[in-house]
Amino acid sequence: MSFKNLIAFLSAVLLGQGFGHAGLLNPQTVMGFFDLQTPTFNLPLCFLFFLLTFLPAFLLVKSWKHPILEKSWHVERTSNPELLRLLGFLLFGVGMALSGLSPAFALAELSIRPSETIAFLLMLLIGIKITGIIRKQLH
Amino acid sequence: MDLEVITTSALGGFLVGLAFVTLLLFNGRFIEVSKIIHLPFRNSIGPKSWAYFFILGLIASGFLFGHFHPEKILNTSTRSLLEVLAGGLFCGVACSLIQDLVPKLRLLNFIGLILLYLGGTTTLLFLKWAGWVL
Repeated sequence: MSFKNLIAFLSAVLLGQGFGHAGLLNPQTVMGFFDLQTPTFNLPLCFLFFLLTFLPAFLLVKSWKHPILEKSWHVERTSNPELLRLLGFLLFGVGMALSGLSPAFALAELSIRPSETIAFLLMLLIGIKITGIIRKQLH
Repeated sequence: MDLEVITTSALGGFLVGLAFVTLLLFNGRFIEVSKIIHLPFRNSIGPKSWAYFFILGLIASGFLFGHFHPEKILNTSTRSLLEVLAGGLFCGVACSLIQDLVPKLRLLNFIGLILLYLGGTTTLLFLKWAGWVL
């Protein structure tokens, strides 16, 4: 295992532990965020503390020429029109409210609820593929 | 709001932030799980092994967390498999449309987050109205 792969592995382990401690590995907690009658605040609070941790480091790193283990940054830029991206956000909310999952939560829950998360991930990949095909046809 | 919710969410958010910082600082990458899942199926040039290790790490992390905190992973929702399937499809289309969210601190992303919330609340209201969610 190379050092870069080890970093990817450790980073994912930290991510999963974070989701777990924030209660986001229970779909009801995620769905509760969208519930106006009995809302749960785990998701927005987790996001707030994520920003407080990540933003200072991001602003610091922004001026660096390259990361520690790589020669360049691997940040892809989007080519989608802004209206389509906004539609994407709306649909993501619909998807999260329906399933209580996001791609990241689903992967972390794979060993906990395998049948449901595999179904979710398969449909996720189908959704990505279909949109990709439609975009190619339109261009 | 319960104090326990605040402390556990804070710890969770800190760990998630630390995960993002680690991958960015060392490997120069943002954590975009939908892209990472899709990466092994793409014909793109460049190394993919880090994506496999990331996926493995996230699965292992969920397993470990479930082993040590079984009370925190209970599924108390009443969603059906059909809802999970529909949710996956919506998220897949959405991920493809949004593409990169994290690298930019722009007004569009904040409007997007409001739309995400509106999309979710409207869906849940509809499901309750239709009697599909208790």
